[in-house]
Amino acid sequence: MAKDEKKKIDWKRTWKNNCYMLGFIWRSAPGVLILTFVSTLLSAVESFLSGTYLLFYAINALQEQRPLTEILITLGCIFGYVLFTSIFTLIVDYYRQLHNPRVEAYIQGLFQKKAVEVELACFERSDFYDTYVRATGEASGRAFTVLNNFADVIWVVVYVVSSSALIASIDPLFLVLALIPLLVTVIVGKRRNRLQYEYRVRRREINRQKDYVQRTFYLTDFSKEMRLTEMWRVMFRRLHSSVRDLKETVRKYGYKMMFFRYLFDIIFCVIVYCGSMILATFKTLVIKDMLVGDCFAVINSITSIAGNLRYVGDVFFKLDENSLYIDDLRSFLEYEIKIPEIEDAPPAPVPETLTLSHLGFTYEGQNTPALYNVSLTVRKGERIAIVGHNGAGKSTLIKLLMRLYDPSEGEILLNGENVKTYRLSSYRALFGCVFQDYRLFATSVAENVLLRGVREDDRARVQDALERSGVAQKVATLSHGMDTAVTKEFDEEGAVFSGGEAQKISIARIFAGEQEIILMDEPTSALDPIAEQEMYRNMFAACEGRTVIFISHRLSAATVADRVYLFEHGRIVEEGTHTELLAQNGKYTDMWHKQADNYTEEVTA
Amino acid sequence: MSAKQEARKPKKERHSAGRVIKNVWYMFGYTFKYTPGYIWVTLVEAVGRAIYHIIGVLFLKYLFDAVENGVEFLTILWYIIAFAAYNALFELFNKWMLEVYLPRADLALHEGMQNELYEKARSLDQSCYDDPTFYNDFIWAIREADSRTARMQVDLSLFLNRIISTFAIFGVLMTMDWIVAVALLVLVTAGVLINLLLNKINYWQSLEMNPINRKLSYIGRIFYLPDHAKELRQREIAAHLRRQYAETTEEKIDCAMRYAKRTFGIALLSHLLSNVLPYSGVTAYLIVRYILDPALSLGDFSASMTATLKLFWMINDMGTYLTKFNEHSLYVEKVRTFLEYEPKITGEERGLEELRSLRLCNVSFSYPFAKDGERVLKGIDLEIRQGEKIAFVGYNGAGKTTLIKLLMRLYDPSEGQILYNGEDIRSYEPNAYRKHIGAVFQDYKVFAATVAENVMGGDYSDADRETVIEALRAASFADKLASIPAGLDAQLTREFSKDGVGLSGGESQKIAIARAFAHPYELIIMDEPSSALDPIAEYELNQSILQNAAEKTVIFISHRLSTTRMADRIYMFDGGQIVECGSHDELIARNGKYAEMWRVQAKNYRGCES
Repeated sequence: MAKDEKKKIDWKRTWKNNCYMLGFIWRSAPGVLILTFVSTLLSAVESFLSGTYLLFYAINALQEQRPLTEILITLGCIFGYVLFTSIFTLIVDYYRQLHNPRVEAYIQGLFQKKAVEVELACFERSDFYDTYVRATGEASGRAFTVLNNFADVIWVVVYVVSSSALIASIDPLFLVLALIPLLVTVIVGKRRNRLQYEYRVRRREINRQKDYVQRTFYLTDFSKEMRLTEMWRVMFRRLHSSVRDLKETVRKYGYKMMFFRYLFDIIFCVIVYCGSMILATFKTLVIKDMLVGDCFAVINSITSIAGNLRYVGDVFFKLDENSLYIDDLRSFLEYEIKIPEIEDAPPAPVPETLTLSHLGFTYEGQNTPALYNVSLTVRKGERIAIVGHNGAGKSTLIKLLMRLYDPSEGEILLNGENVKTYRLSSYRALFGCVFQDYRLFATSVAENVLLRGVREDDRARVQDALERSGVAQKVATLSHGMDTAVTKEFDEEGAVFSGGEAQKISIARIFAGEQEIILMDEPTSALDPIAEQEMYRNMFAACEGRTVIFISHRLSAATVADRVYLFEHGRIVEEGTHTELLAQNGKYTDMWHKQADNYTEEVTA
Repeated sequence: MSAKQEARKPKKERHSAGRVIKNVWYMFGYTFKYTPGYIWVTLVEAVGRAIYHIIGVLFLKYLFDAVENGVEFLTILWYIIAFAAYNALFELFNKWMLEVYLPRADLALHEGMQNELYEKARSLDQSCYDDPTFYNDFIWAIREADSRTARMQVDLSLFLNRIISTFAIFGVLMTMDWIVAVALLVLVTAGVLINLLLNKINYWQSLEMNPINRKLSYIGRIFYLPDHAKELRQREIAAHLRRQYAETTEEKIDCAMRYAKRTFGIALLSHLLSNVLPYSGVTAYLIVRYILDPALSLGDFSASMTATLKLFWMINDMGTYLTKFNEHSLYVEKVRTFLEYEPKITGEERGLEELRSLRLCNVSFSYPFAKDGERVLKGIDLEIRQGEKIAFVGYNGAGKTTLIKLLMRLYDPSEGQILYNGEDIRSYEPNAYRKHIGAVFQDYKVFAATVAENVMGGDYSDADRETVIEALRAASFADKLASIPAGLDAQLTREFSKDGVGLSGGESQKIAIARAFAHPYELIIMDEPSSALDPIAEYELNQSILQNAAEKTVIFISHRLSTTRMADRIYMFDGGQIVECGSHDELIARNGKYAEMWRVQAKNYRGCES
């Protein structure tokens, strides 16, 4: 998410964004928030007491010859506190383990709800998708990063302020020494970060090529081609050139990175550590204004104080990084939905007519419309075939009908009313749809068919649907019948379906539902001719009285339609029944002959 | 169903020390082979760092004794400068190693090992991809081999450093305060042992948590991957999945709760033994001793403190290396199994004459890892002569595609023989044999390389230009090619750049078909060559293929019988057997299964012909 050129940090926004994220934790598991902060506070004090103050106190107390009991009681108190804190911290760790899942589930819940509400275009526009959908969907754990960063702020403030005060009280010069790493970070940190970023980006680019090469050697998809062609030569060449580029990158950046890292190390272990040794021994032995105990305490704690001081800078930088990410998350969660569900809109009525009126649609970022001035009317119970070449706009039409997109021009009317006036969920519930790129879910077969949870009285319905789509036999052979999980994602015994079988399962969804309008986008592409034939017969029988709109390449299916629309370049170029269209002797006729002639010349059987 | 094959993490198991050492030694072989300097550089670093730790302790003892005894400041100054100088030098070496040496050495190791791994991957039998266990290990081997070797090397050097430092510091501490030294050793060791128990319970927990987490991440993914976006907008599936997500979260919390009850006591004990007592307890003891025992110098006290601290985390740290090496060993074995695998599909390197005939004698086949050992092909007999056009037809799952795989020697038959000009194809080296056959599979794959490279199926030079253009024309791709500005040099897929050319299913298929024309194959096999095309494009493509392959032997697989009509001979497959064979007319006349299939398809076209 890091942007190439860092803009000036907007602290107000950073603060607001990080708090926004904390708000999620507060709402889903307030105990996590409170306990984390309390335990951080306790352990910061603990670090100060046992890490710095203890030695300082003990040695000086001894030299000042304080009463032994006082020293022992103080020591006892400190250790008691240490013990208490460490047990408390452990308890908080356990508490967090138990409650963190709630936070994740809460944020995931918000995301999932939104992901279903936004229009499909959000998934199909790659820029929007990459930045908002994918990035935010993957990282419900980001809230904990924010929480930990806040805890770090508390820790750093308590510990650093108290320790700095202590060494400054001995001699402010030590504080100056301890501040050097922070100063250097502020001065050169920006340059180093930019360099680091460039280095990472450069390597990531090259690594992508390398990883691709690797995938071609191990993915089953490529295995046959790798054996039967010599593509491996090309891939080997790419491996070698990536390695060469990477070596070049290391040569270019390696020494610079080494310089920066070395600089910080030298500052710590030579300037701060050895510097404070020299200063402390000089003050103790030559000027003699410093107690041996102070000298000891300073030398033992200066590097840890300096390190934590420097960390202050990092923490704020991290908060800013979170903020950039949270910006994306917020934009997504607050994204204004273009096709909204309006709660008080009337539900969609039983469809009598569905009319497309001068419908036009252009995908975002495209110049040519995918659909252009499409007008047609479908009446209840009709069977409509939509045919045409690949890319003629047929699938886009289906998406518009389902309101996965809204038209750029014209309108869709249900019983004469614009469909936008109806409640979205009730409108979509009118349709049963099989997409060309149908997907099965890794849940049970029955749930895949019903597209919801299974109730006891559903079994007969599912069984019937599976039989009609011709996959019941296969399902019967599975270990748990229709309750078998699909894919081996979660279950070793999960069902693996061939392309044809999976398509039949998705078709069974139509048979199991009672939707008024059935949409099918190339429903039979993976089926063999007999299965296809049977499927169509069953479909028309099961959908008697329902409206069916189907897309098919195979014109044989179009012959049984009440009306056929031939699409070309996003327009309807011919329409009518099969017989009418053949009589027109136009493009449809031409297509028909190319497919049918091989069958029709011969009537031997 | 999933676009990417995700490998499951290998199961954890405990290896014996001997096995771990053997595996580590095996990987050493590779470091020696590709980056011999690696071992020396990391060794020097290990020793240097050990010295750095020991000096750290001894120097503090000297410093505070000197301060307490009021030694001359200048003398102390020289010591400090010497100490600083060593640190500065060591850090310089360390940073050079980390930022300059190791990245380059890693690359050399990567290049060398990946080269070997890929060569091996290429020679693997296709059946290895069907064996889920082997395949899973194979993915890990290839992904992890070199980075594991590198990490192992670094861990080894750190481990060595810990051993040297621990012994040395322990020795120093023994001379100063043996009680602390022994107490520390006992406490931390006890802590480490208890931790082992804790790790075991945590491991059981992770076993139980894995399926729960997998389910959560699966449902999460469903919502943000574009694949399922359309389906999720239908009916109630989204609500159903969200409910499942919430239920699974509760399951996760329940599971965590159960384990929390079991582990809390142990975790507390381990925490006290290995953290609170050795650290705070020993500090308290030393302070009290310092207060009570005037003989203890400040230097001794300080050195004991520092030594205690260092020793404390070093012993703790060493515990983690045991599990690390066990894990390394696990992966190394995967790499070994993979690299030592002997391909079964082999043959002699000898010349092949041009194809005259291809004969299958009683060929049967079952996939090696099929659950029930079901035979996909049963007693296939057929003969194909040079120049013939052959069609394989039949329903889904009748065994047609499997037969093609046997012909290409991706598998060898379980029974029977395939004879090339009368000689068993198993007697030829598989790659030499495959050079005579061009195959277009149903699940063809386009590579993220240039159009020309994809068509050549390998290296391309300008001399091949005409061949490639001709092949693309034969595959009806010429029109599309004209619309691509970069022409033959255009990068396919958007894998690497946004300017890459994305092809539709039908167009990709044409690229795959062009491959078969770019080489002088004597036999061309097409498995459903037009499944992604619309009817007109299909018709044109089939015409074009037949024209361009007029001289060649061609085997077609197709569902669409209108295509297969053009064949000299048709083999009808059913249940892994050839049930009918003959020309189209003969088969129609016989009125068997082929005729039935034909009728079903033709019915709609014929019935409505006006």
